[in-house]
Amino acid sequence: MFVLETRQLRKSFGEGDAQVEALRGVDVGVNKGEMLAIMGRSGSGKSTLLTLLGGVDVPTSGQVLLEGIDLATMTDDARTLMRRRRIGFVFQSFNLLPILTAEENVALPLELDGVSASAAKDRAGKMLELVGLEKRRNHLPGKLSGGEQQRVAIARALVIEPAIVLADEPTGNLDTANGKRVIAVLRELVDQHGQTLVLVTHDPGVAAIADRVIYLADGLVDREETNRVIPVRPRRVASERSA
Amino acid sequence: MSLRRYTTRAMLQRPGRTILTLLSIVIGVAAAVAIDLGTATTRESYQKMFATVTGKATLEITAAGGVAFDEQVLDTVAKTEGVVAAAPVVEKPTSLILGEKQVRLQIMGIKPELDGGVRDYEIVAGRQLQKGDELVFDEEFAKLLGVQVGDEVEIRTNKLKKPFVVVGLQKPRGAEVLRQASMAFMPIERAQYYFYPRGKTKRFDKIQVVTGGEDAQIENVRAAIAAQMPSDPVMSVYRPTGGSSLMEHTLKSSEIGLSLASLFSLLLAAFIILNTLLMNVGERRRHLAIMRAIGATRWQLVRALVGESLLLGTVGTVLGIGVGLGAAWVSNRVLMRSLDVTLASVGEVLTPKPFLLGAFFGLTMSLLGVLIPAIRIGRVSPLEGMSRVAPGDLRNWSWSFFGLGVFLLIAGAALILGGMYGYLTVTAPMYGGLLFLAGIVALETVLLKPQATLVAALFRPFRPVEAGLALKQILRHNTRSALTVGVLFIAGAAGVGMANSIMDNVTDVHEWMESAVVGDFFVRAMMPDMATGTAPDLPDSMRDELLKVDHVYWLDGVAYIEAKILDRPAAANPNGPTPGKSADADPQAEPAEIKAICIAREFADPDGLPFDLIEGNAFDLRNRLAAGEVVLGSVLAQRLKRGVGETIDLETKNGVQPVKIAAVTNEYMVGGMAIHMHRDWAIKRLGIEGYDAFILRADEPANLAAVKLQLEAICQRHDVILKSYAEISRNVGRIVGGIEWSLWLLVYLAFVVAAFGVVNTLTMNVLEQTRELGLLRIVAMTKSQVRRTIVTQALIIGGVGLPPGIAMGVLNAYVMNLGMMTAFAHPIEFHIQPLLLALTLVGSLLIVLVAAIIPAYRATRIDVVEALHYE
Repeated sequence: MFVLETRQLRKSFGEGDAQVEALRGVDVGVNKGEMLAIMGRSGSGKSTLLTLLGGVDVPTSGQVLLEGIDLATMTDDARTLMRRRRIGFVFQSFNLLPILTAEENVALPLELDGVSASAAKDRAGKMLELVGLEKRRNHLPGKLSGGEQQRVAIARALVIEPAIVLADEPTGNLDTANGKRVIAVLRELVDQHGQTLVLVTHDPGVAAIADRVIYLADGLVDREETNRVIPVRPRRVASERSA
Repeated sequence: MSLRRYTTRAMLQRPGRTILTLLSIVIGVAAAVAIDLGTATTRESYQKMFATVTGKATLEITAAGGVAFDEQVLDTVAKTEGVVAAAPVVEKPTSLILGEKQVRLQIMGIKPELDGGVRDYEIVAGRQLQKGDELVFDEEFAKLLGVQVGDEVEIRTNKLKKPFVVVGLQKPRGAEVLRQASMAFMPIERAQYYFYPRGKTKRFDKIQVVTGGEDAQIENVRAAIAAQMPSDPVMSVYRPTGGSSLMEHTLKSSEIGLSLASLFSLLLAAFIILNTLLMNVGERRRHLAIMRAIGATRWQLVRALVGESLLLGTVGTVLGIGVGLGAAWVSNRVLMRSLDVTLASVGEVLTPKPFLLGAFFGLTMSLLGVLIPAIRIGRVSPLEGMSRVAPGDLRNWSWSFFGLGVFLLIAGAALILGGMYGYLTVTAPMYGGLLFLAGIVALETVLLKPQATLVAALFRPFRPVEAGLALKQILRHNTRSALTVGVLFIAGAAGVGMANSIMDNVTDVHEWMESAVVGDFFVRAMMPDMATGTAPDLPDSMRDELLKVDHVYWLDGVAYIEAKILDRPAAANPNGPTPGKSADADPQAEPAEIKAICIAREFADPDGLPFDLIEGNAFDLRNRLAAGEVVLGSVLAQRLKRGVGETIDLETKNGVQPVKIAAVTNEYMVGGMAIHMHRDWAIKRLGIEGYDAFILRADEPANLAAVKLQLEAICQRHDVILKSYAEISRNVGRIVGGIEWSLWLLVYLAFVVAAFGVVNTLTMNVLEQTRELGLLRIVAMTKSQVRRTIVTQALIIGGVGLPPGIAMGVLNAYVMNLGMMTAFAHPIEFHIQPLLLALTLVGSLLIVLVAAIIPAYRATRIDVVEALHYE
């Protein structure tokens, strides 16, 4: 069973003559513990697909099934809760809150979910350790490098123990060295911790390390390539992750 | 809670905006608290005297016309069945001399053995009165004066200054929790001796009666007493009532002015709060979208914003209450000094009400101000919010504002017209004006584009690029810009309106002075009490002495006495109703008693009469006054709905008599509740004795000094006050100036607060345009051009808001002057003040330019490279 699946997914923007069909019936499935890359040229619909996968937007038609539940039929609040508890987001431009420290940024989704400040802080610390930034926990994003900010964003995405992490061009704003470092972190999460990950990229080098690559063109899946077969293995729980 | 941490830090990150929001709340709350306390002190002052004098008494007995009556009436009253206690009173206004200071004082001559039966108090220091020249003071009043038991004080009497010993201090108890006004008690025999003329001392001014039982039984006793009363003078037996309308009218214009200024401040504050909170949401759009993306629900964000607003509201309320208390104290002092009255202190009238009112205003404004931003937050979608380009305003709000604006305009106009034509209360036009202004501001969201385009067109010939960019940024955020324009509009409308009206009022006062205050010298013991209208008598022998002064052209003696008029319905008027004057009176209604002050004069000036006539013919007025007709103050005439040729029912010592109205005059004394009567008729009707003031004119200006020298000697001998016309004029100027300055202060404050709003908007615009400005700088826009772009934004905003605001201010002034009809019973003549308008326009544009300095400076300091990466 797919962790995340789309069925005949369509998304249009605008009306009448100005209507644009960004997705024209996309069927995608993401396996558990898999790193899936979505590639395509500008305007192919890959970012739109990611926002639909994450429940940030609703499709014009079709289904988005996360662990069997159709996000498209949910209310806004229900989708928000789903994002909060089951989906981790990593954005191209990091999107950290500049007035919160690294630790506070990472703890934010937990606190939004009602976890006590101390417990949230504790788990945030462990996530920052996982991404190698435990010593930078009290720094504001403005004092971190681009790569460090993106790793904080990854920690924030992981702190909720998501079913899936969605990354939109995670290395897009980084230099080559930092970009490689971030990709390495993401790969490690998948390999060592069994995290399921979907990332959108235009970089073939990034796509090359994914387990599978889907190519979008003109709102449809153009082709699919498998780089390696994912062995079935039990997923490590959070306590094992942080150990 | 993480969102609370976030909102707190966000507030601290923008201290200027946070302070501006706080300041707006503080101003609004302070205005509400100050006006509530201010009106409470004035009302308390003239109510408490009557309340504490009344005490336990269920009935009072006085003679018609306020004359004194024979002592023997007391025996008759005391023996009437149903009377539990009866006590006589001699009430006289006078002054207490403490060193160099003179303090107005009401003397109550009492029989101590009977007084305790009608008033509830205890002697807290010293002892009760016995006999001789001794006084008992109210404990609080004594504390205020620094007087203690055993002290000797001087009291002005008909027999000059007399020393009295303070033998005790008293304090009301039980229901009489209102503190006594400036009163002192002396044995009634001494009061009769010192304040009644020789040979007429066996008289009382009032008898207070305590009866048992409920209303019906009190009424039976009342009727029984009334049946036994003598017919000469005619006696009244009645249930005591408190309050005086005189002070109320005198202070009404100040209250209206202060209320108006405070309400405008509230409106200004509300719009600034709304605008700053909208800007907060706008600036944090991206952050809010990120939080939505990672799992914050809309409701969580709304709660965070509301929590932030309530926090500011709470802090602002606490600060505002403190500022309001201070402002109330200051305005209390200003009014006391300006109007030469004694008012209750702020501490005396402090109840939970102003605090609750302040809290209500502060928290309500915060919640109302956050309503629209909270709705907007709820509509922030993560996708749209995280976009680099800030979306413009939600266009559909403009038409909602338009609808709201039309509604407010109609509602405001209805209140204004309703109040002006008497269908609604006197305060209705005030609130109507506010709604009207708020409606115009709401309409601004739709009207902004054409207006701003027109103003920008004025700059295009000189700076086409800067003007175009400035206009685009202004229109990009329609709501924000419209609210900023609205704030300037309100400041202009309120400022010019009040300033213009103030200037017209001052002109009116001066015109009144020139007509009504005629004479070179004024001799008096003290100014008449504004609450009771009474004044200490001058020594009996003074008139003869003054007549002997060389080079006196004329001498006019003046006496003030309280007069009562029955406000009978028009149908009962023997002369019949006058069309348009009394047609709406209810013939079945019981006549109400209206108190006024009778100003009895000899009208000795052969060259003219001291009136600023509104109605009536000055040509034969002197003859008509000599024939017994009267001139009414304008407010009294309006209250009675009477005019020239009609009669009023005056309570005289011989009963109620119809008296014809010869004219109606503009009157600033005693709140316009004055009846001017020839002295001879005042003696016949009201039994006046003695004089309260003398007015003299020298025969030649060259002889003024000589006359003054002689007058000074006489006045010094009698220890009375001599004032020249110049001094009186200065005094009036001081009174008017005191009120004028406090209102000007509020006008300037409005513009300063509006300027802060402009700073806020421009700063926000610069912040949002950071990336664009960076790009423009790279494409070779110089720093000067950037600066000019920001300044042009400010000038466009000012150009859109200020001229219409100032024009509206002129209209406001016209309407306010018409509204003075209620306070002064005549509209204040309206003048357009070109210099005021020009100075306001130039001055306010300068303020707007100054407001642009910091944002323009920040815009030029943008680091071009950083700006390109700005998110």
